[in-house]
Amino acid sequence: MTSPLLALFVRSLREDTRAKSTYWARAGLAAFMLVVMGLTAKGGRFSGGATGLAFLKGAAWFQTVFLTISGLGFFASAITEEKEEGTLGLLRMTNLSPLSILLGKSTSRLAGSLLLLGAQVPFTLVAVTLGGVSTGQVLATYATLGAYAFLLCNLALLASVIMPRTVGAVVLAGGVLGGALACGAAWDVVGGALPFHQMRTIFRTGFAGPILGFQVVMNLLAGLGCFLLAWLLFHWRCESATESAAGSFAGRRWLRSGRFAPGRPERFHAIEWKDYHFLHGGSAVACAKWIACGIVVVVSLVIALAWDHYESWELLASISLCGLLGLVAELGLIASRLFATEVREQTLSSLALLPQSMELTVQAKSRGYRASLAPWGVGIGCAGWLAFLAACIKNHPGQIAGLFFASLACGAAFLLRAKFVDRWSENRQQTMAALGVVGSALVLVLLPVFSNDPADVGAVVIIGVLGLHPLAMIGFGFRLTAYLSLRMKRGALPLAVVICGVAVIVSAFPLIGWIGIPAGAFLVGLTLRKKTIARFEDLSVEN
Amino acid sequence: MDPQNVIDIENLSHRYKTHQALSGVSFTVQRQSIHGFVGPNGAGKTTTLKILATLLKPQSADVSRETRVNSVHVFGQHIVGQRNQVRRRMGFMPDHFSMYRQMSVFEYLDFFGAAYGLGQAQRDKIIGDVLTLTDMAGRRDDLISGLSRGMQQRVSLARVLVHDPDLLLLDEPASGLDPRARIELMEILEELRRLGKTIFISSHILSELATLCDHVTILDRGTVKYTGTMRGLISTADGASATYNLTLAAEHPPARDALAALPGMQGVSPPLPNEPRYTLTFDRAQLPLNTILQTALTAGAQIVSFAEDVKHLNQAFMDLTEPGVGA
Repeated sequence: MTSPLLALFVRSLREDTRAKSTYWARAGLAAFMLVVMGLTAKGGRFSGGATGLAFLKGAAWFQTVFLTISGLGFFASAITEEKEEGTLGLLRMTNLSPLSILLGKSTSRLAGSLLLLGAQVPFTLVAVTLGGVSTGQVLATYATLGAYAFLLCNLALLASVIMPRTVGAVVLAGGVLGGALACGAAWDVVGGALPFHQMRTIFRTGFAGPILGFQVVMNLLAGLGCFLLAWLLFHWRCESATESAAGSFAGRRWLRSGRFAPGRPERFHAIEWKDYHFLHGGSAVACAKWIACGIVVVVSLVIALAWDHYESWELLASISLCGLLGLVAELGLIASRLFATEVREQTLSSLALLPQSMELTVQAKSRGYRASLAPWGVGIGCAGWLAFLAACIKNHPGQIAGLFFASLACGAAFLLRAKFVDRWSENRQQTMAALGVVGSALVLVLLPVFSNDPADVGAVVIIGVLGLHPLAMIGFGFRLTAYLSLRMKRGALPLAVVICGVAVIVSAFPLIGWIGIPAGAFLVGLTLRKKTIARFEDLSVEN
Repeated sequence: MDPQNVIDIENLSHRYKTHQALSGVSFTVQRQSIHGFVGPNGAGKTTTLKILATLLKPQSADVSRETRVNSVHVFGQHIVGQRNQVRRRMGFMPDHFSMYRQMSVFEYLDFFGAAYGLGQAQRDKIIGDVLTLTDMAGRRDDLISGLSRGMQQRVSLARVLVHDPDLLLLDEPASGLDPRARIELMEILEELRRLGKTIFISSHILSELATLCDHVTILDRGTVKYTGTMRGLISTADGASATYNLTLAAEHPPARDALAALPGMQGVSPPLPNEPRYTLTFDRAQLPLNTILQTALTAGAQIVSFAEDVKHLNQAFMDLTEPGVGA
C-alpha cells in the first residue's frame, strides 16, 4: 500500500502513464529531434561546419527556450490550479500533508519533463556520429538541462504556493528568472550558475569539463532551497485556500478602487471590458506594465548614451527582440487562458446566449486582450525611438536635438492629457499600441535616413524582411494555443511552443521555409480560427 | 400555431452519438403560465432546455422513426432561423452557477445588461428593479465569490431578468438550496408570473413544483408521458367516469344502499374498518354531484367531507415513469 506521503505523487505518475498524450508528447519530441538532425545534416553539407555540434546546439537551445517558456506555465500551475478550482481545501482535509501535496503536484510534473528530456538522449547521441561533438558534451548538455528543469520546477512551485493565481505565479517565477539573468550579466558567479553560460562552455570545441559542473550543482541546490521554502510557506499561504483564488484576487479592494476601478462597460462592448478588467488585470496591471516599460526605456536610453561599444542597430535590434519576446510570452499566456477560463468557470453558456453570433463574441474577447498589450507596443516603440535618437545624437547632435525634444514634449503632453493611467479606456490603450507599432516602423524607416553607417541600412532590410516571419508565427502561435486550450485541460502552451518551435526552425531553410512556413502558418491560422469558434460553440452546450 | 402559446414543440427528436436523448417530443407552453418540466435523471430535460435556449441546434427529422416534423418555435419564431430575436425575448438559467465570481453583483449584472445592448440609464433602472425583486439590493457591491449558494442563485436569476425577457427557462433552479431558500425562490417566481412572465421550470422532483405550476410536462427516456394541467395529472378520473371519496360521521348502510341504486353509479366501495369513508365511482355526465349529496342527506347520513379522489403526486409520477435510470 502506498504511504500517504507519496499517495498523490504515485497517483499522478499512474495518470501520466495511462494518458496517451504522454506518449504522443515523447514521440513528438523524438520526431522533432530527427527533423532537426536531418535539417542540420542538410545544412552542414553546404556550410561545411561541424554538423554534430550544430545539431546539438540547435536542439539544446531549443530545449532551453522551450523549458523556459512552457515550463514556467506548466510548473507554476501546480498549486494554483487547485486554488483556482477551490479544491486545495478538500486536499488539505484528507490525510495528505503539505509535503505530500507538494510532492504529488510538482514532482510528478518534473518527472514527466525529465522523462521527456531523457527520451531524446539516444537520438541526440547520434550527433556524435555526425562529428564535431563528443559523448561527454551531449551528456553534459542534458545534465545542464535536467538541473535547469529541476530549478525551474521548484522556483515555479514556490511561486505557485505564494501567488493565488497561475498568472501571478508565472509572472513571479519569470520575474525572478529574469532578475537572475540580469544579475548574471553583471556577476560571473550568478552567470555561471545559469544554463546559458554553461551551455556556451559545453559547446566550445574540445570541451573536457565535468558532466556535473558548477551550474548543475548550483541549480540542484537552488531548486532544493525553493522546494523547502515552498514547504515552509505552504501552511501560511494556503491557509484560506478553501476560498477561491478568484475571490481572493478580486478581494483586494485597492486593486479595484479609485484610479484602478473598472468603471462601467460601454454598450455592446461589454466583453472587451470584462476581459480587460477581470481577465487581464485591468488598469492596475496595465499601470505596472507601463512603469516596467518606462524603466526599460530609460535604462536603454542611458545604455545607448553611455556605452560607446554598442552600435545603434545592435541596441535597437536587441531591445526590439527583448520586447518581442516579452510580447510573445504574454500573448502565449493570454491565448492559453482566453477561452479556457470561460470553460473552467462554466460561463460559456451565458456568453453563447447573447443575441449575437459566436464569431462576434470571440472577436470581442480578442479585442479585450489587445488593449492589455498596449504597454508592450508602446515600450518597444519608445525604446526603439530613444535608441535611435541616442544613436543619432552621437552622430548628428545638431539635427536631432530638435526632433528629440519635440518627441519628448509630444509624449509628455499626451501623458498629461490622459492623466497617466487614470481610467484609460480600452480604445485609447489600443490606439497607444498602434502608435507603438507605427513608431517602431518609423524608426526602421528613419534610421537609414539619418545614419551614416551602411550597416544600418542592411540591418533595416533584414529586420524588415525577417519581421514578416515572426508576425506570421505570432498570429499562428496565438490561434494554435487558443485552440489547444479548448481541447486539452493542460499542456496547451507547451505543445504550441513545440509546434511553433519546429515551424521556426524549418522556416530558416530556403524556399520551403521562407515561403512555405509563413504561407502555411497564415492558412492554418485561418482554419484554426474557424475551429476555435466551432469548439467554443460545442463547449457552450456541454458547459 | 396558437398565439397564446409561448413555446410550441412538435415532434422533436435529438440523438447524441449512440444515445437517443429525445424522440418525438411535443408539447406547448401557454403565455403567462408557470410550466413544470419534470422527469427522472437522464430523461432529456436539459437537452430540451438547451434546444429551447438556442444553445443546441435541433437535428433534422429522423426519417427512420417517421418523425418528419421537427419544429421548435418560441413566440412563434423558429429557434434556428430567428435565433437572435428569440434570445432577446428569453432568459436561460442553467443548472450550474455560470458566474464571474471575481465581479461584484452590480458589475456582473451591468456586464450582461451592456452585452444585451442596454444603455447606462436603462441598465441602472433595470438592475435596481431586479435587485429589489430578488431581495439583493443590499448586496449590490458584494463580490459574487463571497455570496452563499442561495444568494448566488438569486444573482443568477437577476442576470436572467436583466434584459427583461418574456420567457424564463430555468433548469433545476432549486437544486442544492435549503428549504427556506427554495420557498423564497418559489415566491420570486410567483411574483414574476404576476409581472407577466412565462416560466418554464425543470425539476426531477414533481412535488417541488406542485404548488407553483399550473401546467406540467413529464418526460421519461426522451418521450413525453404527460402534458397538461397539474390538476389533470393527479386526477384519477378515467374518461367519463369520476371517483370521489365520501366520508360520513358514522357508518350508514341505508345511505350506502341509496347511493348504489342511483342511475349512473358504477360502484360504491365498502367503508374502511376504522373510517366510514366510501369511494364512489360514477358516470360524470349521467350523475351530477348535487344528486349524490342530496341522496346521502335524504337517507339521513351526516356528511363530513366529499372530495375528488386524487393520487399522491409521487404515485402519479411513478405510474408515468419507468423504473431505473434512462439509458
